[in-house]
Amino acid sequence: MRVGPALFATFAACTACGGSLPSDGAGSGTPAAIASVRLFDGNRGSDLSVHTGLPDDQSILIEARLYAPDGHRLTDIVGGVAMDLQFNPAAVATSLPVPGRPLQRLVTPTAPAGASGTQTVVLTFPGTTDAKTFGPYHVQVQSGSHTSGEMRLFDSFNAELTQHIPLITGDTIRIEVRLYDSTGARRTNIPGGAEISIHFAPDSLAIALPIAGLPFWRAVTATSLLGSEGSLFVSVLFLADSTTKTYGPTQVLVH
Amino acid sequence: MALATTPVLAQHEGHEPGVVFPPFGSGTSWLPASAPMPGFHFQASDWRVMVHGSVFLQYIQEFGQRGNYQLGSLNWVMGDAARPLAGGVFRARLMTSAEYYTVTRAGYPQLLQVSQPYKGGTVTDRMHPHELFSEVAVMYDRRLSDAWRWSVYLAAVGEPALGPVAYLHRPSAINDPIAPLSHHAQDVTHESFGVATLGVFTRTVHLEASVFNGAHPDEVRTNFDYAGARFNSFSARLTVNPTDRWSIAGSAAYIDPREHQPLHRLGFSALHVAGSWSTSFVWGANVPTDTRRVLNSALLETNVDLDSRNALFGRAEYVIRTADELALVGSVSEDVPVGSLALGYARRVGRFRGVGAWLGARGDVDFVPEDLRLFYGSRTLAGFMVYLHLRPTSIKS
Repeated sequence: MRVGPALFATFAACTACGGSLPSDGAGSGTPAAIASVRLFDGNRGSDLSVHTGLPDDQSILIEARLYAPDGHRLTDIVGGVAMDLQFNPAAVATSLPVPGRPLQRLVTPTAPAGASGTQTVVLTFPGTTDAKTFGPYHVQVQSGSHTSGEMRLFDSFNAELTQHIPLITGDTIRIEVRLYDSTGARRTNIPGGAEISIHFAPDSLAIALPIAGLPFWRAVTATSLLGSEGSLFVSVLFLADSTTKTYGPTQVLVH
Repeated sequence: MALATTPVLAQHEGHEPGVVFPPFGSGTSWLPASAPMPGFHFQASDWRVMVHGSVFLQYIQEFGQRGNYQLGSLNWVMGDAARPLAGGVFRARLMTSAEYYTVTRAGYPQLLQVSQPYKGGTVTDRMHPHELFSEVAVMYDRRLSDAWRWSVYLAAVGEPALGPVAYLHRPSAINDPIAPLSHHAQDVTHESFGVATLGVFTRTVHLEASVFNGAHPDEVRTNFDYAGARFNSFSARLTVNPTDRWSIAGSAAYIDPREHQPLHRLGFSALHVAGSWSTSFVWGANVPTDTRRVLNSALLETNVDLDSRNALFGRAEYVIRTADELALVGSVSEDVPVGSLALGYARRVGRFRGVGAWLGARGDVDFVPEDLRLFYGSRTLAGFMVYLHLRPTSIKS
């Protein structure tokens, strides 16, 4: 048998053979083996480590997952482990333990939508005075289901800004208000028409000026210092019945 | 079907016969005019067809506590067909890769590469496989004046006018199939699902702008990722080829990946080809719109074909990694600078009907800050790869 084809056949048979992935298995370890912590939505499973959005009208379950330095997940810590969350500022949210689930906390926002801060994971180990902290992880209170997507904000690049509007000192951005019905379809033809107005809290945060020919757009410019934070509210006057509906707050941060 | 020999430079492009422009790299990007582009060229009726590709069978070993190994194949095949149409030139392009099957859905081991979604979780320290269909595109260009032409490029999957020639197609990386660590700040958009580009160009200047779908492809690489797709991202690129040896490009983009904060991406590249020596310098930076932190990356890579049988190659990189990219938010600093140095050697061991077989080896050392020592076990991380590489050796008609 010729060596070349045999080698090639062997190689082909082994193609994509390799070592196991850290995600393929989970294991146990000592408290010292915990090198990193990632946060997940305990119900939906989505990763919240980069950004934890807290709906302002409900509590969410946050789960900490523990990892060894090599990336393997640690599901069993020798001697046990418990988790707490500390918020900064403390007024952003509170958390309660979940019976029987030491690595989960039920988190309830205590600040209005638009507030943001950080959270730190504190791990404690029963029977010892040892503790480990991980963080900070970004957290932000967001408008919950009561606005349910009736109003959404976009910039001129079509990027959605409904939850958060980053304003750059000295820059003006254009923001469009879009309205949606209960099915999620965009309302482009409102009987009788509608007029929008935008205001900020505090008032000194920014200004929103009309743009000729674009009634649902505003030119928004920061009028406060770098690092200022506040909220934006949108009021929509429906001309057919003269009713007004206000949406918000949307968090505004001046960068 | 009629086979015909075509002049070397003219084979690089798809414009009118006798009109020589710099060759396309990936998407609508330009290579230096003197860049070698080995492949098979033939004429079929009015169509001029070019086929080229690259198939590596490799063993990769990355050392350290996050190290791993894999026997696999990195590969791609590309076809490009051009014909005259309505006073201009129409071309169609298809690029495919079987890497989803040959390096698995999780990709191949590469320490410090950007983490990626994987089966509901996250996999770190691996480079993802390419899409089964990496480019499905059509392009049309036509004379505008004596010096200028205009072009339109439409891609179901393809590359917007952004960044350098993708690393797969750079002559300086012809013997190095490993993705740069800076890939995600430079040329990762080469597989965008939905691209439209308009351009104007002369023999030396190429100005173009794109709208494209900025969403990352998902981890299933065998489908077309159009769920929720929209043209939400924009880019522009200016390329100047002052001589046959140089191609210099600058680009800027606004990208909305949807799954995280939109960002701006800036890029500059200088590609140089002098005979059998090809070198690329690339700078790329991601600038998230919320923080406006500039996340720089820089790459220098070179390939020297010593005598058409022996080649040396290397790559040096500096990249700012975020804790998010390493899946280490909360455990390390927000931004982490890392470096990488790779050197390799390849020797042609055979040739059959225009396809060469090369044996190669590549060693690499990565440098990480103290922050990452806990996770990687050291501040200097090593790895190697050995491979058999099959690719066209010359222009073949």
